[in-house]
Amino acid sequence: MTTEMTAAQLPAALLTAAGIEAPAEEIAEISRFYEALRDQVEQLYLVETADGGPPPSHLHRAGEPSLSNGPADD
Amino acid sequence: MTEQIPQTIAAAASAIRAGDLTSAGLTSALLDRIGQLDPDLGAFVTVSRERATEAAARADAELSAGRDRGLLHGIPLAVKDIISTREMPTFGNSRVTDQGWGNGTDAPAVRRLRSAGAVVIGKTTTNEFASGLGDPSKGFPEPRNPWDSERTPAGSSSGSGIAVAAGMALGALGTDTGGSVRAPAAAVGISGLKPSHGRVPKSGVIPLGYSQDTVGPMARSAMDCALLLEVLAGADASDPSASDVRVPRYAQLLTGSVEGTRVGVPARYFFDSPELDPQYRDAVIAAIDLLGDHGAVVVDTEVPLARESRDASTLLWICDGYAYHRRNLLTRWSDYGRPTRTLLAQAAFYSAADYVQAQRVQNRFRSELARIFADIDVLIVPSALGVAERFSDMKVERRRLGPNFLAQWSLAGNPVIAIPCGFGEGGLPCSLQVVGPAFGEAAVLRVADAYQRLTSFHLRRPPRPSAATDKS
Repeated sequence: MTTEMTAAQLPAALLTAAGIEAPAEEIAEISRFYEALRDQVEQLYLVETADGGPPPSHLHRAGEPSLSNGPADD
Repeated sequence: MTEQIPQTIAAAASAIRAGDLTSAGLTSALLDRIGQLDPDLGAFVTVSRERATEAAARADAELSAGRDRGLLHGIPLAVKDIISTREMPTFGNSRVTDQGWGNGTDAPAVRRLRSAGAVVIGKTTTNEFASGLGDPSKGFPEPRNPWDSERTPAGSSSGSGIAVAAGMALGALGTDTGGSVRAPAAAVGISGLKPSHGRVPKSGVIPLGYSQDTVGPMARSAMDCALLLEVLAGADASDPSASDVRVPRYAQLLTGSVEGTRVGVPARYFFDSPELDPQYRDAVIAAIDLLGDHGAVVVDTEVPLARESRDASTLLWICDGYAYHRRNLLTRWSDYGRPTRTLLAQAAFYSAADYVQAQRVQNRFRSELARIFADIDVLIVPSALGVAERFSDMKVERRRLGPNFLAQWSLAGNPVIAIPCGFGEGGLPCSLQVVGPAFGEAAVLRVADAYQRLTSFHLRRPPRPSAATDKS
């Protein structure tokens, strides 16, 4: 059986998993920043880097095979 | 008693050699000034009155005996309290730090200053572990901006900035991971240099972001920063990241000329952000125009990935800091100040892939800057969005999420100096940054020094009681 976790519960769960025991109001504060910063982190994956290969965003372009679903059939 | 205290290291060095000043007299006057001003400004965690007095007397005796260690000989300096010093404890502004941290030894940067004859007068306040904000509940001095005590002196090298601005030290060491030398330098109206990553050894310094940490000089002028840097720079066996790139005699390269120097001005992001205070922006543009009037070639430049490089820098140092502090965060959460623990704990949310992607952005941004610096000598951008904020107006969200002109150069590892360029709202200092190519400190310092020979903003001092006065 799996337990579904809401997005709002995720930060607290991650902190708990990391072993951090913080008061609820501080977890809420950390979570707010996490949510705000998450968009900025996602933007980093859109940067075309110069170390070879296609930018990561290409892997998930609509209509193309996604590595998360395994390799496309040849 | 009224003491005549030179404003700059260079002026003090000249006065000492001319016989107009002794290190003992200078040190005594600065210690008196600390006693007078610091209770209200909160710049110092520890003042080493006795040892500093002894060191100054030794410096004078050496000079009298004909031994001159150079222009720092007998000059009183302050050291940020995350840098180890043999005679004073290092707290890092934290109740978490082991009392024996540093083991009573000098960090290489401090050792080099002492070998050059400098007198260490005290340890200066910092944000806890050079991150976050202060937490008044922890019992350390609360640093205040000497121009307006209701405003922040910025950080994290807050005390070093205050000490120089208020004339309690002629120079100081700071550290800069994402702007911690330049932000306070800008907020209090002094000069602060973040050297290239690896230019100055950072062993003996409590780490924050391994991949971006630097030790840098803070002083009234670019010339003084040059004098300090040429003593501080160079490889050291204790720091594998310290570079063996040759160390020039920086001060000798400051010609006062910008004739033919190509100055890149990136309008996008750095000058067109709606959050940038117009008066602050105008002060920076006026400085660029002045350099243009004196022979600099001003070039419109594009710096790509300004926003992304800032975000990558922040992600990397938060994760680096979390790695260093994780064990203590798990067991001593409440011993950390709240701003520090809630900041560093965010790293628990980032994945290894996020960290690697930030490093990939770092590589790309370095390549972009190398391409840009093939065509220009320096970039000039504002140091901040506006003058130092009032404590009552400070918003952590704005600081973390809004535009920022400091972190890009930390991510790339390039040298950059913040220098005063005028005064804005409330009579508070405005500041610009001169950015150079990797290990191009000479170009950065030369442009900053040339600007300071044309202006006097860097010599303006905050108002203070009349008992302590300066000679120019």
